[in-house]
Amino acid sequence: MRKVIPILVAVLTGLTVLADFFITHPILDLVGRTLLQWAMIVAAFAFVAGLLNIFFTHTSRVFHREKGWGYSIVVILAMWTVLVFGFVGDGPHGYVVSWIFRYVQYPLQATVMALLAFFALSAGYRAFRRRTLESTIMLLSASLVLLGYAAIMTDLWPVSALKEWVLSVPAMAGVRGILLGVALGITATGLRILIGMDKPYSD
Amino acid sequence: MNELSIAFLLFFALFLYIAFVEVRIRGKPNLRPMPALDFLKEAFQKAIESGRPLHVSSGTGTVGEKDTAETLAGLGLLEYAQRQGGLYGIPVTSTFFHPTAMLSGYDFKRKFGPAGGRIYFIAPEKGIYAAGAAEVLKNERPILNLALGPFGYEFLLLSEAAESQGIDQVAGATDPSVLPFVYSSTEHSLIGEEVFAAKAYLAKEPQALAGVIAQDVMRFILIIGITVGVILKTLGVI
Amino acid sequence: MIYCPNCGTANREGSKYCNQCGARLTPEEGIICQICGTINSPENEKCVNCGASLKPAPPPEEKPAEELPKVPVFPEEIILTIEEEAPDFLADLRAKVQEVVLPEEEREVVPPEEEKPIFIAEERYEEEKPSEEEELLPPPAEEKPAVAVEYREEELPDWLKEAEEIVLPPEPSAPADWLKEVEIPWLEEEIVEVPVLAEIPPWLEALRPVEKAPEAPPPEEEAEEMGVLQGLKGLLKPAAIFGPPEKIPLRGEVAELSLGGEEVQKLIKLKPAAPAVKIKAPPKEIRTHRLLHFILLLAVLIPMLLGWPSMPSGSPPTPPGVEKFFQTVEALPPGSFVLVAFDYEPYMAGEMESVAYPVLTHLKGRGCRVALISLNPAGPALAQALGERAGFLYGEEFVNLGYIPGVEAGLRALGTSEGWLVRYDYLQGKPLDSFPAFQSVKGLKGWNLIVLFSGQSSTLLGWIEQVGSMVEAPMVAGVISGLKPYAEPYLGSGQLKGLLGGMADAAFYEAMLGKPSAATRAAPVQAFALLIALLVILVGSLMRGESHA
Repeated sequence: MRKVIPILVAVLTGLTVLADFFITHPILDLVGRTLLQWAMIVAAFAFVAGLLNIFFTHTSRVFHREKGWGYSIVVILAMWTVLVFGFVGDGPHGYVVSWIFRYVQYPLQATVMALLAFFALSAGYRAFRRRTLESTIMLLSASLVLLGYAAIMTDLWPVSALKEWVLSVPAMAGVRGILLGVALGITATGLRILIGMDKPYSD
Repeated sequence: MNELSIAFLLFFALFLYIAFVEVRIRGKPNLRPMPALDFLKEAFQKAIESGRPLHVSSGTGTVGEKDTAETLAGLGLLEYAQRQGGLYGIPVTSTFFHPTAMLSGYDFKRKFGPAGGRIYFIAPEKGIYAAGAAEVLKNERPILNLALGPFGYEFLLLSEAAESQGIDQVAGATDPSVLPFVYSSTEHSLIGEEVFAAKAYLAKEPQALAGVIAQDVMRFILIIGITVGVILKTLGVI
Repeated sequence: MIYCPNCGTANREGSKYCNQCGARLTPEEGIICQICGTINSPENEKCVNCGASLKPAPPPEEKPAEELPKVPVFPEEIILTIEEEAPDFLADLRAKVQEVVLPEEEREVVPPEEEKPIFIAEERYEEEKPSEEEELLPPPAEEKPAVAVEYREEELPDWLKEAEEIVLPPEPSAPADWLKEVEIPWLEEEIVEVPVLAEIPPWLEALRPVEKAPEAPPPEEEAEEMGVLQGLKGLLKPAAIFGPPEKIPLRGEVAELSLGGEEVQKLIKLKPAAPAVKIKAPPKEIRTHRLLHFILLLAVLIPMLLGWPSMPSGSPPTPPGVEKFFQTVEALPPGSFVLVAFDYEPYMAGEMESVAYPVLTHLKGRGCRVALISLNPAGPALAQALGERAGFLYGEEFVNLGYIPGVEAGLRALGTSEGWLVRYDYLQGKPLDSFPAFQSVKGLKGWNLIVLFSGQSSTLLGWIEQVGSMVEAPMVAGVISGLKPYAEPYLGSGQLKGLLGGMADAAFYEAMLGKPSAATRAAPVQAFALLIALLVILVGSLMRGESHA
């Protein structure tokens, strides 16, 4: 019984939401939307566990003086600062939290993203030095596309046209194929759970 | 259109069931070789030899939202790694983008025994996640970075951090705009639907294998459908 | 690089066993199975590989002296518990030993033949260490004897344990005269090698007279015992008569043993997680990549500082997507309602804001009323900042609807809901009905234009595929440049009425708008840096083949 009930709940919930997707009916709509909202509420509770994880993991890192423990102190302090200002004062959208977002988190994230250019160069450099057929094809098409993007400086007609062609014909065909495969994979995963074959939610 | 979708789903489910029964009866089917996953086994051996941990990232997605299926694929691989870790005493460190996925991480750890390794929840912000996971890689010095699941551009931050420290990588992603990064920055990559086949390939569970088979059959049906459609359209029949 | 303590081979950083001789390189946190050698986690009671029990000690005769160095180091807690669990009589004994040991007591405890070699071996480990290891590892001197004794306790039978206790007082004493007298020619150098022999603790001294010194040549036995298995002691003695066999060079054996001793000391001192010593110059590859990064940095910085190259005017034709985008906005009557989705992560804001800003200023210029919405938790804050920067007046000209969770499900809900899906605005928490300027729009109805700013294919496709079919308002999109190829087909199919892909398109938009801003400055620099990057990659790939190809 202890095994059957969770499967039953999971399968019924899944089928209800799926039915809501296909069938428009006031009651089904209401049930479907309510279930989705519950899912969001349940997911929100996971954040409490997440906070506890951050707190305990980093406390223990500091306590054991593990490598990089200084950063763990920063993490814990930052966590408490935001948490406290989120609860007291003017709330999560209040002045302090907004200020932290705008002047700390946002520039930091933008900086991290800016590193991407350097990493992309490194990765490209490494990949294109592998002497394989795939790498060579990739190098050629990447060169074309990069040149195409750089061609806003002047109108290099053949380059721009070739870039457009590479992006819209072979690249797009490949992407469509991959997306199709991915969509099938997603459907298979969903169906396995929906018909109770896979039970990621139970022991 | 709705009817077609429902028919497709029903047919898919039916075939999934048939494949499942078939796998149960006939045993493991022949899967096409996936060098990246073969390397994964090798990497486990290396981990046993070296005593250094593995790092597993299940992607920057959420259980319960759009990326659920990819996240589950990543978690499936984490489960496999934890199980092997429990058997052979390899510590498995995992980093999580979202707490819903993190809960599964705790579940696997509880089930598969004390092999050491930590569970880090980092942040549900992609850039921050990548930076935090890169820091974990630096501190824990794992022997393998296993990153599989839904990833955005932040993937490159994570994989290059691993690469710069000489950490071997097995990585997979589904987002086409991220795949060039996956291919160029890691030597062992899984692309597109291979991400979903990973667990079937490694753990050989009948459910997962059935999923792969059903997926393949549906793909053939789709290809035939598209080809027929194109021909009919060209001939002006439809 | 880790150097093998046994053979000196340089091993890769992080290696556990020597590649050359297989000796252990780093201290291991765990218990090594005595049967199969598998490393087990300290909590394990049975070996994960062969199932042998890990806790009980194997009988001493099965335990060759060679294996001593491989003895596991127990985490401190285990040592402590062992210490605590030691029976009372042991504590008593220890107390007595601390003072002066009575010879009679010793004789009771110690069967004279067998264990003498063992303490001497033990003693030797302690001696060995200060000579060589001292400089490398600052020694916590008190800890070492205790631990050495502890692990022995674990392995040796009770009667031997007691004997071990006696080893405790580390009072160094002068070499015994009787020992010096003994001369075994082929053992000569070995005796020199092992200084321990010269130092016998007083209690052993006390033992001597009883057993008539000349009769037993203990050093001989001792040397042999240490070199080979204890059980084989008898076998080796005859060898002494005929001279040392070639195959077992005693020096080597002793050297190995003494290294074992060091290793034990290392284990004791370093504590389990001691990091391997590493001073490594960055390998060539890392240096190359640093150079690449530096070149790229210069390729961006220098043009930015010099203001060169500048956006060429007129010569490259404006991309059709940009043209259409501009015309769509231009066609809006004043007072139109525009829904703007900010679906990008903060880390993409660098590029996305330079795309979104000219569009917002254009909308502002057309006198539109704008509602901002986001499928991303961090989106509303980004949208708010940008809305204010574009000069919109909150409540009158723009309102922030906040975050819609659930991407596709959220979009579906947004499309099907009767009223506002979000009840309160993001900034002030006021009911959305209380904004008079936005009374006539509800949910997805009543909009004149929907503008998508997307950093991710999932959100972009979500809007186009889920919402596109539900609304009659035209949709235009601004995306990061990496997403442009995925958005372009929708431009072709007419599902998108305009498309801005990245900084370059934004620069064209600004040019059409006649208000040059960030994108106009950055786009040419970006193009220049791209060219440099391409050049670097091409040069790198043409220079020479890669070794690991």
